[in-house]
Amino acid sequence: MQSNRASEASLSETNLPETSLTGISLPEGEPSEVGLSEAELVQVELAQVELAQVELAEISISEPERSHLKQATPQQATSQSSAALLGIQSGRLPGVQQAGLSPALLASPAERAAQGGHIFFKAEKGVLYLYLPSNQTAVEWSVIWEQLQHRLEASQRIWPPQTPVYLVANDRLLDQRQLDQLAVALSNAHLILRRVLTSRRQTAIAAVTSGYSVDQQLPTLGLPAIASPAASRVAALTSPELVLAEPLYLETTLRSGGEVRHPGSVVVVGDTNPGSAIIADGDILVWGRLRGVAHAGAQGDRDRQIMALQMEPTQLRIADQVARAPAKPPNQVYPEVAYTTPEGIQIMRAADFAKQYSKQSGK
Amino acid sequence: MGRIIVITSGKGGVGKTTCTANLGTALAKIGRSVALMDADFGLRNLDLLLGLENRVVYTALEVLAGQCRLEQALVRDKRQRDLVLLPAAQNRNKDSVTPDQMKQLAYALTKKYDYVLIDCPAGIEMGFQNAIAAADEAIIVTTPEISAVRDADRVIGLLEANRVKNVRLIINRIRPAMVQANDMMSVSDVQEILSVPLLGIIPDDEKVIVSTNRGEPLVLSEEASLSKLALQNIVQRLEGKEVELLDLNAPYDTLLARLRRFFKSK
Ligand SMILES: Nc1ncnc2c1ncn2[C@@H]1O[C@H](COP(=O)(O)OP(=O)(O)OP(=O)(O)O)[C@@H](O)[C@H]1O
Ligand SMILES: [Mg+2]
Repeated sequence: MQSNRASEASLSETNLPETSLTGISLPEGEPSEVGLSEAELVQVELAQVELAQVELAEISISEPERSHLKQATPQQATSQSSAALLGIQSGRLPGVQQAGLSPALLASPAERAAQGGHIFFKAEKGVLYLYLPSNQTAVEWSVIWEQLQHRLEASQRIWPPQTPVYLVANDRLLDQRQLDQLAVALSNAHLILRRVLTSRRQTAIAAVTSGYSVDQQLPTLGLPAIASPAASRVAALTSPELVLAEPLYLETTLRSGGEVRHPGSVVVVGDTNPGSAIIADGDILVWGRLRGVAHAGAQGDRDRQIMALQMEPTQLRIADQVARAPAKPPNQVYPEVAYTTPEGIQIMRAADFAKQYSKQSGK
Repeated sequence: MGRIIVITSGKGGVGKTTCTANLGTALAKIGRSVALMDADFGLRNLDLLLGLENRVVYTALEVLAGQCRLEQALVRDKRQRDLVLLPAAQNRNKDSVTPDQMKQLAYALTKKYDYVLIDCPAGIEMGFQNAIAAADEAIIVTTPEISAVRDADRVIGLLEANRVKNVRLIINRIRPAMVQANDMMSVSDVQEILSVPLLGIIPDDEKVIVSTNRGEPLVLSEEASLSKLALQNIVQRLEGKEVELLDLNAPYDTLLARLRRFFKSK
């Protein structure tokens, strides 16, 4: 993660040709395509067509009991894997693209968060940046507010007290009441709202009136401030890897209706209840019971895993694959890992998975 | 300063109003002064359950509009002098009140009353936001059904987000025979999901329905019953006393059922 950030930072200082950025004005509401040249767009579309065909060819398979696999040694499990999906109903997720194809790949974690309609924290040089969802996502204030409360609650021990917060409001309209609410919520978590970055005049005025420093962002750039989109886009293009945010560490019970989205890996210390969802661009680790929906590699990375002390999910998703848990919960519980195979998502005892994984990968 | 407790559930019809009326009455019976706030604007029925409908003159809305004083709107219970009700307006929708106004009313009531119990409407919209705005404590009412428990879980999450920290659970309408036959979620099934402290369990009991229809809270009835005892125990726990959970199985127990439980718990 460290190295990713370093490369992002160094790139942003390089002087890059901005041909694909300037001069193109794109229709509103399709922010993810900003900056793609026409040739690139065509490529993406073609690739999607191919994918769609693959999807048709795939049939979901229903499987023998999960317990079989649990008893299988790693070697046996491998040999069985072409047939068995551990009692899970597995299939393909329409609309999720495979790695390397998603236009969203070209965005930085903060941009992906903003476009995905969720808040995002990033700590840098002693400052905590709080990104708000873009106005275009039509996420209501009350939803943002709820997300923020849960996040602050669950991340209490991570940020040192009195850390200054820079609010990256982007194109979101905030009135004074909302800014004050934010400031109170942050100060309850012993954080201090210091500065507001906004591309909206009204938000800037509200912030000044409430006594915060204000940075006006350029409205055309959408999400400047920290890593410029151009820089992160090139970073993504030059390396095939998705740029992940630092892992999100949450100490909480994720309850029904609670949804955590993060452009990186997510660690939950606690249970996730039925009706909740974790959607992560990286891995998901639940140190507790996983009972809700978990989607790892949400940008299409199939090498992602979902790990839980007690795996009783409503649904598991990795990249474009979906799996439904067996109707009957297993009798014994031990930590398990869900991962993808060409046949779909599989679950394996964590102890066995560790053995197999270290043998195979050798990386 | 009185305690402000909201009684909420998410799902409708699980017994919020029944609990509010009975807990309020039972608290008044042991000598506490209690104000009940009906936050179910547009669908009020706390006054009905208390048998006070025909005494309602003003509602919270008139108080907020300055058309009457708070004291004038409070309906005094005919049996318990220390119990009053602040009725909700029947003819207005939930959006006619704001969370700040609810706080204003509740805080004013805490000056005179030991307990302010707020009967929350079902759902998680504006009416819910209004009802929880002033609360320092919450009682979640759920029935042992998957959908009710799911909604309760959602509501607990919202309460946490709104910094209502002291959240406790009442599981209502338990049918021990069904639990034993594995046809109903057990107390521990529910607790396992919600993981908040249990304030009490109440059996499903037709006496509750009868008392509802009479407008006379069950805790006032002469007759002894498990459900009445359950409600009284909850009040004791609210008062900080340790009372053991009721054994709802007792009246239904057979040797076979006991054996089955014994082996299940192994
Ligand atoms: N323990 C019980 N045993 C039997 N019936 C009950 C019990 N508790 C509540 N009821 C019945 O359930 C019905 C709904 O109760 P109540 O009105 O208190 O629910 P509520 O949660 O306030 O509903 P709403 O969401 O509509 O406000 C009533 O008819 C009531 O008599
Ligand atoms: Mg009611």
